[in-house]
Amino acid sequence: MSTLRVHVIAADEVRRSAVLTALRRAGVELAAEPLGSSDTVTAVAADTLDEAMLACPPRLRSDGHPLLFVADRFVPADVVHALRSGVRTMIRAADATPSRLVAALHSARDGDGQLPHEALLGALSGGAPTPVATARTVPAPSLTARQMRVLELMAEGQDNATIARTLRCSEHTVKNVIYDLMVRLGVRNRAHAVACGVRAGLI
Amino acid sequence: MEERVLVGVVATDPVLEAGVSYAMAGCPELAIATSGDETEVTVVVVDRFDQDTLDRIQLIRAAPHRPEVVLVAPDLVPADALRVIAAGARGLLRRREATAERLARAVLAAAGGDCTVSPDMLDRLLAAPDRPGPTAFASTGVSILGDRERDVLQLLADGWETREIARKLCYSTRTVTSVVHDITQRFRLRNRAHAVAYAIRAGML
Repeated sequence: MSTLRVHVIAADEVRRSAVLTALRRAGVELAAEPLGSSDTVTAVAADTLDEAMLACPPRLRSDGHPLLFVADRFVPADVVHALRSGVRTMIRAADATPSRLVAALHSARDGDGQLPHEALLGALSGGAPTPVATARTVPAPSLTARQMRVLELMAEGQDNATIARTLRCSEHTVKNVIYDLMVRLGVRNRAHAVACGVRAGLI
Repeated sequence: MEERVLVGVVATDPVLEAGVSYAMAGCPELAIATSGDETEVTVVVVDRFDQDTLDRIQLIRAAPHRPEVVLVAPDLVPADALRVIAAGARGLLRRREATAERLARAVLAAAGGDCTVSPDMLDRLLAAPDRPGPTAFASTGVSILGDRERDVLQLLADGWETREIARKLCYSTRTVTSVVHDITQRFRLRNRAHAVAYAIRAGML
């Protein structure tokens, strides 16, 4: 197997250092330039896939250069857009442990299509332009950063105890945050809150 | 170091099965299952694709420990590739592309919740860029959820409780609970909130 080299582009410094840390742990060689050799993969980290697309220089997309997008959120319409723009390999930032990041980089280098299962289903179901696009035109209720984080963890199916551990706070605090965000979203229960958050593009 | 992924192989003949197992044994992140083990991922290798292949994928997925499936098959037409994905497979590689390294990677990706599909197959699965028409799934009549499952999920996403859903759909509460249970088992979801988020993100609702 030939040596893998990675050039990192990030939408912000926090994401850059997260990706660089994972790469260092995995012992991957970094490249200062994106087009060094055929074994250089460019990893682009951003909040959404569309932001990754904006952060990525067009010349890298046009010449079939190996790309890996690392994003926090996978909006179905963005997945379709990215796939059609020639990006074949995408990974959720939350899943980007050193070993999975390296596996995804190898997939990108070899041109394999690899993406989160539900993102693929979403793309094949037509990029679900209806719920997300229409919800976006209606101003989404604003949530605090903490409420968003809790809602995100709820959408991953975490229970209150796990959320409390993840955020290093008490279960009591988690319950309060959930109560507040449910009031703000005007929803009836957890499933409703999560549905509302995903449809409004909040998480 | 993360734990190794336990992988099993099901092939049309024992020689092929041994060959594929041997190829993957070289990957330090994988452990090859012996018969009776509860595998995390099962690789299915077939010479030709037919209904039997789909039944086999569904049968493997229905095991109590819910293994993920990676299918290695000859070239598939898009409709069949969609059927494979709808049946729950999390990886689809062509026989000629399935090198040891690539297969190992697809298995690791499947264990982690990602899905691997050959890039040109992805291209063919997505509808033509400027033609807004039926989606890939809709145009081939392949669906991931049954009507009853979609109805229940939709009402869950709208914030209704089990009892209310049962009343609206004229089912027993037990039926509603069992539909939700089936969905969470099939897609390996933790609870209702997870199921609703997954279904919306996957464009099922």
